[in-house]
Parts: sequence; C-alpha cells; structure tokens
Amino acid sequence: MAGFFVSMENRFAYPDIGFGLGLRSPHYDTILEHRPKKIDWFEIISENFMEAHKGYWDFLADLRRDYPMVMHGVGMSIGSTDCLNLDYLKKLKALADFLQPPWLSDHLCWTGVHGKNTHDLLPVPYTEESLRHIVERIKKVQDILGRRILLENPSIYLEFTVSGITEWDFLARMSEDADCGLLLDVNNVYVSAFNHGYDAKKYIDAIPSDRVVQIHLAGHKNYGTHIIDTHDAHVLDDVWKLYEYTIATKGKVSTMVEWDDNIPAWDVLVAELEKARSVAQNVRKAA
Amino acid sequence: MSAFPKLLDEFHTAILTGDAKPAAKSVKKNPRLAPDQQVAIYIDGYRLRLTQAIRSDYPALLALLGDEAFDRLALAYIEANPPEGYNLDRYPHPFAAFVCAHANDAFASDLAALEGAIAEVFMMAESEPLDPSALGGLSPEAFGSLTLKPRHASRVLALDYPVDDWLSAQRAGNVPARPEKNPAFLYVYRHQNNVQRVPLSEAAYMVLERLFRELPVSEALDIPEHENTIAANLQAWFAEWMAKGFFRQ
Repeated sequence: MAGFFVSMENRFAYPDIGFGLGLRSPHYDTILEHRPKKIDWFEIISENFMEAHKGYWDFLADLRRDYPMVMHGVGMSIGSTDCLNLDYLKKLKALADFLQPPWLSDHLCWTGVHGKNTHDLLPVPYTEESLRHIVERIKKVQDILGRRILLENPSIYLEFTVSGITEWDFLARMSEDADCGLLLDVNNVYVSAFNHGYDAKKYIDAIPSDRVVQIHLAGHKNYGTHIIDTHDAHVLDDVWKLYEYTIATKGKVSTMVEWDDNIPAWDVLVAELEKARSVAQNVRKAA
Repeated sequence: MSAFPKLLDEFHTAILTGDAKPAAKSVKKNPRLAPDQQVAIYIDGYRLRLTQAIRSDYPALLALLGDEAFDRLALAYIEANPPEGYNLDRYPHPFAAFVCAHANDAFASDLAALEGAIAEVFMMAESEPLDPSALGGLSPEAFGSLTLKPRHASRVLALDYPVDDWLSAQRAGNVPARPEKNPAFLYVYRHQNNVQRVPLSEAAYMVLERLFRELPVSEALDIPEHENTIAANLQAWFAEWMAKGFFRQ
C-alpha cells in the first residue's frame, strides 16, 4: 500500500494507515475490478452493512484482503438520554468482529429520544451533566463492544445557552475521562468555528494530539450566514490550510476524504485524496 | 426532569413538529442567525434527509408524480411516521402502503408497491434454497400435507395495472403513458445482488401466495376457479420455482 507506515503518535499505538476514502456504492465495481493502489484504506458507514445480506459481508471480506477497513457510524447516539440501543450495539459488534477494523468510530452527538431517530447528528449541550452522562455511556459502549471507540467532533449549527464548556474542552475531557480516541474532522472544526465565531486553530490546539487517531476532510457549502457540512464538493482552500496546520501541530494522522453526495468520478476522488497526501507530505518535509 | 434531558426533549420536539420557537429560547444568539433560524437548520435538514431517502427508493414514482406531488406525500409520511430505527435504508419501505392509503391514485399505488417491494427485497437476508430432492419420492398425501417456506428475499404482488412493463420502459429512459387497468401478478426476488421480477399468471400467483402463507400444499392448490389451469401447469411451475429458489430450506 502506498504511504503505509506505522506511527505511534497516538497513545493507543493505532497504526497510521495512510490516506483513505469512503467506500460508496457508485464506485464498488471500480474498486473490486481495479483494486486501486493509490488508496491505502477504506472507511465504511457501519449502518450500511450491519443489517445487510451476506453478499455485502462477502464483498467486505473480499476487499479486506487488500485494504484495512475502518468502521464509521452515524447511529450510536452516544449523547441521547434514551437507554443505549443494545440491539444496535450487538449488530455493530458482530460486524466489527467480522471485519476486524483497525478502529471504529461514531460522533459526539445524539440522533433522537423516546425511541425516535431523526437520522441527524444533533448537537449536545456542553455541560458538566452531559459530560458525565456521555462519559458513562462511552465506557459502557466500549465494554459491550470489547474495543475502544473514537468519537468525531460534529458540525454544529447552534449552541445551547446552558453550554458552559467549549466544544474543544468537552472533547478533551470526554476522551480523557472515558479513555476513548478522537476522530478529528477538520472540515467540521472549520464549519463550527465559522458558524459560532471562534478560532479554528485554537480549537485544534486544544484537542489532545495523543488521542487523535483519524482525520476527516470534506467539502461544505457556505450560505453566507452559515456553513452546512454537505460532503458534496471538493475540500475548500481554507480547510486545506487548516488541515496543513493540523498535521503540523498534531503530526501525521490517518486521513480520509468524505464525499457522500454528488459523488464524482473515481479519478476526481483519487485526486482529492492525493492532494491530502501531498499536503501532509509537504508539512512533514518542512518540519 | 433535569436540564439535560429536558433540553433534548425540547429540541427533539422542535425537529419533529417543525416549530422552532419553544426550543429557540435555549439557543445562543448568533450575529448572523437568530436562534429560531439556527433551530430551523435542523428542522429543515430532518425533512430533507428523509425525503431524499424516500426519493432514492421510489425514483419511478417520483418521475410519475413530479417533485411537488411526490414531496407532499413524502412529507405527510414523515409527519405521520417519525423514524424509529437506526437503519435509514429501511425507513422508506412502508411508504408504499402510505401511498396506497393516501394518494387516491391506483396506478401510483401499484407503482409504489412494486418499487417498495424491490427496495425491501434488495435488503433482505439470503436464504438457502430448498433442495429439489426434498420433494422427490414423496407420496401424494405427503406432498399434499407439506408446507413450504418462501425465500426470505422475495415478495408476490397482485396489481391492478401492468406496472412492471411501465417501470421497465421508464428505467430505459422513456416517458411511458399510464397504461389501462389490467391486472398483473409478479414475483419479485433477489438473486445475488440483483432484484428480478417474474410475471405470473393469476392462478400461479394465487398458489404461490397461499404457499407463502405456509398453507399445506393441498390447501394452497385448492382453488376451484383455477382447478384446470393448476392441474395443467403445476409440474412446470414447481420445476421453475425450485430452479429459481422460490422456497428456502
């Protein structure tokens, strides 16, 4: 695999597996047929496969022979006040046991309460009460899954008046208290910083480097009054600059480009990933 | 209730009802957007995301009805059925029944039933086909008392319109006219990763539908109005059904 080497820059000794893409259906055939060498690893959306029929699991097993496969979820709802969904966790564990991913992640968010699911990554109020609640749930989830999880900073379109802790401090304390890892979405940092007027670099600085196991990059849409994390376009220049800053300050971290809507031709995706590789390499050379 | 669950309840209610105001009082002011506008981003995103999920399972119905009429139905469905499961792919499956109950358009209802069945079957579990030898050497009495289990990833459909032909034409890029009412019967199943549609005669549909309800074979075949057709075709039907794995172990 191009660019594969082991890094011990995170405290968990997870390997740096290089530069990856999301495994998305428009490109299944291309990936299966050509086994592209420029992609070091793939990230799957866990929920797309947890209840899928055997053909899909066979497909994953086939790709797993050539690529590390990381699992990324959108349905754990770690911030919800509902009980943990044990059926969900059982199926997630079954998939993880089957796929043996280098790691497994979800988001610092909630998706619904009272048994409903909005299928959105809803913002958590950053308070001492929510921190205690979420830390306990992370510990339980890690016990059930028998593995550590990473949680990703979401894009936030509002902040609650009760939030007395900054998002970056919340992430730092949460990861410390629950002993979980972090998936640092650089685009989400940019989006949330724009939407709420804080300094994106200050945010990055406050995130404990030794807990960052993976980075996400993605495109977004700026509506003037706010930015929405759309995953439907190229990574924007300001986000590339923030990624450069992140690599310079955090060290080299396994990086993945997300592109989930208006998914472009395969070559366009590969070029976007090569750009990430190039940015990271240039930072390392300059260091 | 402490502050944290109450806050989540308020915000969740705002998303489901579309009323931003009660939740907005708990949202920080922002120089560019008022609190209720910030809440509205989530309210709108919820409906957009679910509508897109429904659209992706019913593309031909969308083409038939047009954006506005389709989205009106989809939003009514979302209003009446907030998602409960974590699998977004499954959320649109009951939309077909909702269309049938609310669209007042029999052709659209049939098309929704077919696209819904295709989407549902695409996700269902594999099943080990029944070995034909299981039926070999059975006495007529033993065969008659047998119950057969349908392949998991399959559906039988009885339709008022020939929507299968219409769907094929639409998928080929045509804009077919709505056909005349003419009953049609279909078996929809997935083989590997492809969903297949097999036209059935009315008699074959009735037999299969009864077998899939796991009635004993003798009861499933006891359809007086189709007695002669069944007698004449039964062997050929079973040969095809077994070859295509209509029944599971």
